[in-house]
Amino acid sequence: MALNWRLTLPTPASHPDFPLWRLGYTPEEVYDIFFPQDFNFICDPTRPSVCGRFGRTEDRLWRFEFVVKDGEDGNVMATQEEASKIIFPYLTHKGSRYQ
Amino acid sequence: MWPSDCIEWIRSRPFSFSARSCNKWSLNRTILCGDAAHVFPPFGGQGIASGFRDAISLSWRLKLATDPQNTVIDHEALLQAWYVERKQQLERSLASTVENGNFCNEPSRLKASIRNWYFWIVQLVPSWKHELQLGGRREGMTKYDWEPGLPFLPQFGGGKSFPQVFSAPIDGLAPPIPEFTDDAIFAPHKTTVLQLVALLNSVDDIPTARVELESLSFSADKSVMLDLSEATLIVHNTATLPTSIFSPSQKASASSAESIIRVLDAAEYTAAGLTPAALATRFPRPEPLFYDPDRIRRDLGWDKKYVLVRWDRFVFASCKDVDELREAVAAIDGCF
Repeated sequence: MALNWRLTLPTPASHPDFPLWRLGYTPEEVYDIFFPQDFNFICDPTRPSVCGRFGRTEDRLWRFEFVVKDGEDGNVMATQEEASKIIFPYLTHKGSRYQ
Repeated sequence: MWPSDCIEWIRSRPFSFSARSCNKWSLNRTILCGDAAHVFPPFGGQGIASGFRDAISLSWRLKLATDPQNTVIDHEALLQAWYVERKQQLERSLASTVENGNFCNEPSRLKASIRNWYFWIVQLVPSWKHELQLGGRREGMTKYDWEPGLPFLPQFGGGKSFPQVFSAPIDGLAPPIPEFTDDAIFAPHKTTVLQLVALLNSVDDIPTARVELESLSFSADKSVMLDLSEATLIVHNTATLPTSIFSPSQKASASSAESIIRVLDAAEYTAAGLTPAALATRFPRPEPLFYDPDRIRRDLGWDKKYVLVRWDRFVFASCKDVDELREAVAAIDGCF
């Protein structure tokens, strides 16, 4: 399964509750932390995945691919609801990372 | 968590992949090239690279096939040799891709854990880490194994990839935007399928090389194949030469298509990136990690002086002197 995202930058004005503003991060820095420049192979034995930026940096395009397992329906796994369950854990950082 | 309202879903779709290659990539007036001829799983980043390699190795053959003066050429054999060579490299790219895919997609937790520890340990030793980073490239650049009909001379080291290194004009500074030896060898004004490259130790070797090259004679029908006036002289071990020291006899005449360049070492390459002119270009200039200015001679052999390179950057023949070069030139007709 492959998906392409176009991302927009959150800002202190648009997302006042976003915790990293309090630690002094800028929108660009937050973007770089969540969507790093390097290609990333996520070698999770239960669900190998790969993600990375593509296209021009300023377009903020990002691609995520993950394995559809035997017995799963690729078209179901490609829905926003199912794909979000797999991807969003990687876009959720523990607060301890920033202490 | 990254705010979900900062995400626009452009595309989300299942796909499948496989590794396949057609048995014939050309028949009569039809040619299959790139993804039309072969498909890759995505783990090696080899799909697009293979397409480019197919295209450049096809380009000079199409030039030969459509040359109105060349009425004897066997088109089927010409194109078959093309895909026989390409399939050799494809098999190696595929092996490397499957290796990567197996690393990424290991389904056993125990084996995945062993893999992670193995890679962690390997990376503690810098030379091991470099080996790991090279991956499929640790065996060196692609080399075609000779089979009957392939257009290169195995007895003269043909079939190897011709490496490229950073270069500068013989009598000028390193350019603000990096240039490679290939940029001179295959410059836009060069036309022939085979390009002659002379590998020289110093500027003092230039006059001798010129005399030796002029002593070779060609029949006119080789004009699409080889033109010695397009030769490239590459001088190793030379720092910037002030123009005043560089004697007129060592310079190319204005009318000649000849190029004379010098090889840059890592220090000069790096220094050239710090000049105001280079900084103004904002051209990305990666650090020259593991850069070897002697790469061409290391790969081809330190005793090689004259190299005939095909337009697709594979060596037709590398020769230690002008006599060997004469033999190689004489063998061109039988190879294409």
